[in-house]
Amino acid sequence: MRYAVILGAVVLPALLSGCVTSHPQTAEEFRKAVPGAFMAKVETMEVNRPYEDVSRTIEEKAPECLNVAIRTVSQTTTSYQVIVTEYRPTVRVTDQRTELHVQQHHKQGVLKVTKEPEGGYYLLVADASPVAGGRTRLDVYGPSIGHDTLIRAVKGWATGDNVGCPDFTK
Amino acid sequence: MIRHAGTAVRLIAWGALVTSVLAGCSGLKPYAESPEKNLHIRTHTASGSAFSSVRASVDVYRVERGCVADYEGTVALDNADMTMGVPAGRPSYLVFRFASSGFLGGSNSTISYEALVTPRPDSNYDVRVRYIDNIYNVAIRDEAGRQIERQRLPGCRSS
Repeated sequence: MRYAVILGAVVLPALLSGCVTSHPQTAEEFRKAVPGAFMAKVETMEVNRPYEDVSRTIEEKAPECLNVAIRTVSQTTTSYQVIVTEYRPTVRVTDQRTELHVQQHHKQGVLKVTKEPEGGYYLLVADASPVAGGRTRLDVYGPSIGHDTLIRAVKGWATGDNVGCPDFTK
Repeated sequence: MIRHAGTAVRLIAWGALVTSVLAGCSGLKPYAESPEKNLHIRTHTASGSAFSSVRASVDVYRVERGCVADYEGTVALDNADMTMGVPAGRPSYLVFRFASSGFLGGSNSTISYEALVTPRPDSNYDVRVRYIDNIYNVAIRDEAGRQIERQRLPGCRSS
């Protein structure tokens, strides 16, 4: 968890920004930045569920699961660190696309070195869209390490397998 | 034989003392359930790793006027299939906790899922509690199979 927090707080924004003084301020900027960024990836999959079902699951689970605050305590013989991270989901639905944006805001314990978008740094963006045959395409933009549980949860909302909330402490 | 019995009594006394001290230190207390067992809870936990384990439990709070949540006790959800009783006709705040413990120096963590429920009198509810491979879910359904809408206690404080 500590590793994931450090990754999310410092490394990922820095890499996405190309180690300059800014990083994605919108979901669209995040989509464009991820493919060329180190330790970030785009995953695309098709699932055998209708778009309406996938969209409904994302609409239900995102506010239920991702509107959380996580307090992490790291303690060694020489240090004691408390990090409080707030996660915030945003879901936008149209007939042709359902967007999930996940942002994170470090309320305590992390220095911000770049401008933070309103609502927090972008951590993940997922787009679901209908394809032929009653199937759904899912594009996930996010970190390649450190937030595997979140990405698996979002994929589960699409596939319908092990539908639940990600344990952000992992 | 008498000596053995004395040893057993001492062991029981020490066990009770240690248990009570530990319980007092943790702040947790067993929940005194309502006689009517109206929640049928099915729990399934699997950490997904050989180096960690997950234990589920539920804290029960009585919700008073003024939105004060008063802690009443905790039930360990160690059994895969169990029943418990919460008072019907008044709101209870249930906090399901999933506590992960790592072996060999791994980290410990707890994630929780809260739900405000008001059981109807003479009704039973099916509660599915699941934590599999770091993904958790709690679903509460009534006898007709309708999922109970999850409600939180925004702005409430616990005592």
